[in-house]
Amino acid sequence: MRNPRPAAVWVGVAAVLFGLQAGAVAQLLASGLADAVAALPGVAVPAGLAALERAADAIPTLLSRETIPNRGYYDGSGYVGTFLGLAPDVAWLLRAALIYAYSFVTLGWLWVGYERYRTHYRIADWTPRDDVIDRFRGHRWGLFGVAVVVMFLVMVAFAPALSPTTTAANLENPYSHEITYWTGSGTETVTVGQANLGSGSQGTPQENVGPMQYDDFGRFHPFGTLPGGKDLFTFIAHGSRISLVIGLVSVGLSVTVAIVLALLSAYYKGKVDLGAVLVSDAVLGMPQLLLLIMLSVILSGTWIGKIYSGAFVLALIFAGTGWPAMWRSFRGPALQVSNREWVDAAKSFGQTPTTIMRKHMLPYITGYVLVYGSMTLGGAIIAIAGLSFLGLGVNPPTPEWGRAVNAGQEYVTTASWHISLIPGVLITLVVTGFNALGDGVRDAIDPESDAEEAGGASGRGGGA
Amino acid sequence: MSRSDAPTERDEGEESDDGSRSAAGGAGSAAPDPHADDAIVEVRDLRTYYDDDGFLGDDPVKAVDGVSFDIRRGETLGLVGESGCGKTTLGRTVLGLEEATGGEVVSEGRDVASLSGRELREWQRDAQMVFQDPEASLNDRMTVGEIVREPLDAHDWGTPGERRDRVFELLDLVGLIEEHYYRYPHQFSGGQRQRVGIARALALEPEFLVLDEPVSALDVSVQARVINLLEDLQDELGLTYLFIAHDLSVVRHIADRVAVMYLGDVVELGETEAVYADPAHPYTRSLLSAIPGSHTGTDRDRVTLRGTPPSPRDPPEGCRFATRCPAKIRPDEFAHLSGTAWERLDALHTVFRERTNAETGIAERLKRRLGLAVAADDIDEVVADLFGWHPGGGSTAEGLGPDEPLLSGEARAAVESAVNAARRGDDAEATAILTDAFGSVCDERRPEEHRVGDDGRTSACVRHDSGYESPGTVMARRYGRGDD
Repeated sequence: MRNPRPAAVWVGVAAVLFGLQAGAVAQLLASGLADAVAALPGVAVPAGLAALERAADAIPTLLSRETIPNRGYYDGSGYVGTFLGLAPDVAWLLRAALIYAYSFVTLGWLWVGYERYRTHYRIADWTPRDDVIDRFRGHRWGLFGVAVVVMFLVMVAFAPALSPTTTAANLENPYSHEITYWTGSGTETVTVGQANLGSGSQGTPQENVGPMQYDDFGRFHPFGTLPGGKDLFTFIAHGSRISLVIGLVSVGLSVTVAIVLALLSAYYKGKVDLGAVLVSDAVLGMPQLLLLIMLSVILSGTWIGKIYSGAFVLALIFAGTGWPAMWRSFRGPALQVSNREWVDAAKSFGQTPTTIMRKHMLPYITGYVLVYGSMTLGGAIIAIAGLSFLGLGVNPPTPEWGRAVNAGQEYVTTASWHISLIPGVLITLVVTGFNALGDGVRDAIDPESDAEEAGGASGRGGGA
Repeated sequence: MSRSDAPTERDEGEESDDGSRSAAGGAGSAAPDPHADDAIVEVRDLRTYYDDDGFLGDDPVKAVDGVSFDIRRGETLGLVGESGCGKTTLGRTVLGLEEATGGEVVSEGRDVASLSGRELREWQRDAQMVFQDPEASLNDRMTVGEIVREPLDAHDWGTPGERRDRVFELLDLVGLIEEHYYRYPHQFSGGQRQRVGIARALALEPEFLVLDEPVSALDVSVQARVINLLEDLQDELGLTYLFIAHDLSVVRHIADRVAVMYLGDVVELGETEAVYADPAHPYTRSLLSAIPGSHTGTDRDRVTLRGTPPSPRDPPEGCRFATRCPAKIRPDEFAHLSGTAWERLDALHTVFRERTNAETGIAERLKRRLGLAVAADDIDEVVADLFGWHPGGGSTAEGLGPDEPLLSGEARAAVESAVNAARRGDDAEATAILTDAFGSVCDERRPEEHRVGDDGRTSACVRHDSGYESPGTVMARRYGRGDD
């Protein structure tokens, strides 16, 4: 390397940024591993894994509720247990702001790293991808999509740290956790479950905890509470995880199937193509919603139906019914590129079919993959919310956005409007963000493409 | 590196006018080959049909239909013909990119079509292709280095380091520089891209290259440089070329021998200079007279090729060229008909043929089957236009048709009965009547190859049989001006 300085500086700063959150990463990996093992039927989590989880928890992390706590109580003269004795709302806002600031700084630093690589280390002074990136940088609608998607992803990644309370204490086992609060003349201790009973949002001004308010027990609720008194923000932050996991798994699976089939049918044409058309038509002929309802009922008692509160089965069903539409969208471009002369050229010197598909065809459909993938992801999020709204899909108590909308349905016109409105607006915003990202990517890849052309995928899943 | 600048000195000859280019090219490339009989590729009765597996079981497109020739080691064999005559398909079939329907391509004792495994890999190393459009034949998501390297990777050529060095060597060989390794095809001009295509074709050290119109997508000034590069490479590396082109002047410049293709068939094959100086086949004569300026200073007159080639789905049964041939043998009983009359008879014949082959809707077909009304107006109009009478009995528009009646007696009777068949909707019958009345040996059998001249030249025309006038004489009489 001729000039190691920019790289060294970059790596140094990146290491500091990573170090701030190393504990969270270790925790995530350890708990992910433990969850994966636990998901296997008939396997107990080995003691070693549990120890690993505890060890990971012990690594200090800057942006966590332990470092900047917002839970505490007023003891008549000041706050006890909160960060620097600040009021709980201020402490929470500080933590949330720091988390978002950290995330955007880290992403910005990654971008700086790409630019350093481009100016200092890449041998090619221009690549076709540069044009795509430059076009995307000037695409405001696409950048709006990126901002929304990044904020959503940060919420997913930092759900425990962003929430004012924990799922264990607030949603899952409220009666085995206790809080202390200031009654006006002294402090008292009560279980979270009992506190929740007294802080629900029931539609009347007397029984309502709206956004950015405290309840009677001194707890701060950024988005207010659910009818049962649980914290809506915690519910939404953790619900975003389920939405994203289902979306990613289903889109990932269907995209993989669609790409492989599109490449095979475009390369071999003829009978392979015809077979793929027949199978996809058969799958498209099945009513997706009906299938979803039936399968989620049938599979709800089985081991596969229990993985991740039923979310995994949902993702599989989405993938199984979603790939034909994707394959249809990829097949055209794949056929087009398979007729290009460079494919012939590669055949003429004896390149193997798999390499031809990978090197000479795949790069030309990845653009479509990104576009349709991001748009379908939005569709999947809507579909899952829709199913939960109908009472199907993800089982309680696992939080899911659609269930929050459902819970607040009867309070929409009352003082407790926030229960339905906030998750509803968030769903719309996130889906719009994914669609905007898809639009931006498409325009960046192919500036001449018609804006209407690829938009067909955006409505998918919205019917559920 | 230096080579990229070098071609300027050679360009002078290229950019001058056509006449001197032909002369220079003739002197430069006609050198006889020392291994004249050592064939590197033998093509025997090769056929390539395209079947678009329609449900109606249509005839296949006969892109290449029974072609035989040798390509000698070290030579450049030019392959010329109109677009759609099957020359590209022939080149691709020789390389095995298209599956041959029949016949064989033999190279060093192995039938290329039936190769597999190690032998196929060897053939893929030995024979390479340069494609027509350098915009389309280079994957523009790969750097030039990756593109040129790909054949080496595919064949596990040496170590990665050696492959890299080999690519630099190849880039230098075709007149590019090392820095170009890391650039993308978008950053190059058409001529430079074609150099990349050539470098890729040369990567595996092939002996035989199929050049599929390698310069027709390039600017004229760039064409000359690429042609010169190809000639230099041939000298340096001892390559054999099959040079496919529709530009006759380019072929004259580069080719040692030339094969002329028409509708899937090679009609004439011989030493380039001999063919250009004195073409034997009527098609070659017509084609060469179409080169602008070519007839000045020679004894040939311009013979315009009428119409377009027939559909390769249903080529004429006899000589492929019979429908357009300016030297077609005519039956003796109609020897008195004028040249114009023959021209119009041929035109009418073509109309009927095309109507027979035309895709018609199912409703139209049913109507014909049932003998219901056919739109006869267009036939009437054609006949009125060509011969001046209106078969439907209507009046002929003023100024339409020939000034004097062209046909009389038997000839007119034959045309009338054919027109009546067509008016009934039976175009096949109409075609048959015309062929029957005005056809000759040309419509009956496919001509064999005849040796013409003493340099091994072959030409496939019935007129080379003893007892017929040679094509040249006939064409001079029919189309010559005055007494030459």
